[in-house]
Amino acid sequence: MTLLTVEDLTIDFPRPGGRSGGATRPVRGVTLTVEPGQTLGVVGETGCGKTLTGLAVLGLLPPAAQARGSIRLDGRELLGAPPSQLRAVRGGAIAMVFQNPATAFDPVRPLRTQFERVIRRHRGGSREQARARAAELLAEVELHDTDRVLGSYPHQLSGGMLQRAMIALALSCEPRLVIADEATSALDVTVAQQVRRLLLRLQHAHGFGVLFVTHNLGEARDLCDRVAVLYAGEVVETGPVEDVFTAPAHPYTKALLAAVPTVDDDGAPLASLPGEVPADVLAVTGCVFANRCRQAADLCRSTPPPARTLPGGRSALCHFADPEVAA
Amino acid sequence: MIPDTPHTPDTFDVSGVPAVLRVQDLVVAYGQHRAVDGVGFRIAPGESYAVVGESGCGKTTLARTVLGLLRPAAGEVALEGVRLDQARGRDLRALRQRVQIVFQNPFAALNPRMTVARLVDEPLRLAQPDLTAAARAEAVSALLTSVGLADRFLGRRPHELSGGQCQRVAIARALAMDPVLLVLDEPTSALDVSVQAQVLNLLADLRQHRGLAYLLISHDLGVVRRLADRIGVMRAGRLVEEGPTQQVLHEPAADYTRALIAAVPGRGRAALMGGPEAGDEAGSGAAGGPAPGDGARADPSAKPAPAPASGAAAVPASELSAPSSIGSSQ
Ligand SMILES: Nc1ncnc2c1ncn2[C@@H]1O[C@H](COP(=O)(O)OP(=O)(O)OP(=O)(O)O)[C@@H](O)[C@H]1O
Ligand SMILES: Nc1ncnc2c1ncn2[C@@H]1O[C@H](COP(=O)(O)OP(=O)(O)O)[C@@H](O)[C@H]1O
Ligand code: SF4
Ligand SMILES: [Mg+2]
Ligand SMILES: [Mg+2]
Repeated sequence: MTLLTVEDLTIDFPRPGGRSGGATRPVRGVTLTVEPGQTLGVVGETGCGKTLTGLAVLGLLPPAAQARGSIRLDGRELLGAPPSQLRAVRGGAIAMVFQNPATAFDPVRPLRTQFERVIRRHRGGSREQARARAAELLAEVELHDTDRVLGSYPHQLSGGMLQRAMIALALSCEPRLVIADEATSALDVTVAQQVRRLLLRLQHAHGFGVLFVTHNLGEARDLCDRVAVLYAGEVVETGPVEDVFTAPAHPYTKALLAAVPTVDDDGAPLASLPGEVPADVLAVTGCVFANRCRQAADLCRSTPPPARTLPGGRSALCHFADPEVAA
Repeated sequence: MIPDTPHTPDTFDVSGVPAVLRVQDLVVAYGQHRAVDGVGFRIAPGESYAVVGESGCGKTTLARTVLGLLRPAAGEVALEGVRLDQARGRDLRALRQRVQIVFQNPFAALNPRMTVARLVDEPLRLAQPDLTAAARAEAVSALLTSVGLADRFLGRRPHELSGGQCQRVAIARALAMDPVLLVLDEPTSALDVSVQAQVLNLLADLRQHRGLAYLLISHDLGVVRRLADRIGVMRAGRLVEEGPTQQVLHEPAADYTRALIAAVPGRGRAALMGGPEAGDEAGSGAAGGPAPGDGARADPSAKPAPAPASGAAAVPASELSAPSSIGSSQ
């Protein structure tokens, strides 16, 4: 059975707030699934709605947000569920790993206190048992000097160590789904690589599914089974990660991949994507990407494209979706 | 004009052209801590040199020293053959105009109350005080055109610009000083991929058309591959490897360089799990060997990094800061 199903999720901010010109409907009809033990990457540029989608699954949207659609974990509806139930889900079946691990820990207490609290809440037991479990968890994330780590305050650990500790804390509730949002973005490149490897190893060992939010396309390729590309609040393309990366079907995915500078490229000018997301996406009559799309035709400007199903478990939101082997 | 300070003979290469920047045996210290510890390299006119390395390795300290904002504890920094580290007063200010910086965060670098026109006019006034208002207006417009911004942006303020447009304004401000060397400190890491591509293409163009030299600081080897002719790999205040970009990226000599290259994501899951371990030493850190990354603050008994010590050898020489220098107040 599908682990997580997000169906036609729409998020409104009825009173405009946030950044100037901010969308009042930053997530529009997002549909995603995560299978048990699999990783779905959610990628796209600033403001496309990645974080809000993850927060909606966690039941952690800002109070002003209004979400509709359906979010089901193991078939059970989470959207609109009472806060107490959502809290239980967050400390149980769903765990989260965020960009800034420092904010996950209380700055004025040693890590031990927090581990004990979370572990005892989840499985009860004595303080000693919780400590032993904390040490086990830290060993699993390859933090070996567990006594010293547990005795440390967050500021005494490097970013990489803290991110490992946050992952250990996430594991403590034996989650079935981990939501990671830019989990490596604040880390140095080699440390980020270590954390990616760790996540994969843990996933093999424990079989949890992952909703992996990142702006880093390379990272998505390395970690994910499937990927969903968001643009202006919509999923514009989804499919198995290698297929999407080697033969993108949506013009936006094509443009995004062509804009990434790589270590092995030939130095020819990068294909850049001119223009911007329309200030008011709700005012757009046709395809929201039409103002930047090289393939835009009259049809695109008048009629919003349907989500077209393509062979191989893929789909793209485009009148002319056509998987094309990237140059 | 270049101030009247004696040239040092070895700043010239065989062709007799002085290096735009020559850094030699440079040591910059915060108290006892040598953030830059014996670094040397040269940048030829029109050349683009990248310094790569992880957080805390000393890149920003190096950049600030090249900008004349920090005094070295030892060693030399020469701009077009003139010793920056020995210059004072007016000479120093004149030298500092020759190097400009573009920062990572384009919003923070721009005064939110100024229009684009004023933001570019401000450095131009300092660089060319004799220009008439009309000539300056023309120059502002030309500078903005050269970074791909049309005249309709003249009246806008930073909050009315996208990140990429802000970064273009920051670049135009730097160009207004007519520098020979542009220091680019993570110039695109705050930008989205598609915007980054625009700014990278612009930077490549500007170098070609203006003969500017770049000192690029970046942790993104893809960006470095695009913009740099040569790379210096920095670790714990020292250069561990230096060479032409292609050579360093394809035949790295140092283990640390290999680890940095292996850490570039995007080669697929098999490569991620199969590649060489990038010095995984998350445990208690300080495992001895020169492994990159996570060891930086791995000792939980360590105290937090000391605050900038007063009386430190590296004088954050605020009295040296001319208001002309973009973001020098950062
Ligand atoms: N004002 C200061 N006082 C004391 N130590 C400092 C100060 N500024 C920097 N350092 C130390 O000097 C070293 C180099 O710092 P620097 O900021 O130059 O590195 P960096 O490579 O640019 O790092 P990042 O990529 O994180 O900006 C670090 O160990 C840092 O902790
Ligand atoms: N509290 C809020 N009020 C109004 N708009 C918001 C709020 N939070 C986010 N938004 C808007 O929603 C869009 C998507 O935000 P987010 O999901 O955080 O994007 P990202 O993909 O960068 O994580 C943006 O346009 C943002 O301005
Ligand atoms: S529907 Fe038309 S405008 Fe939209 S992405 Fe497809 S081709 Fe481009
Ligand atoms: Mg986000
Ligand atoms: Mg820095």
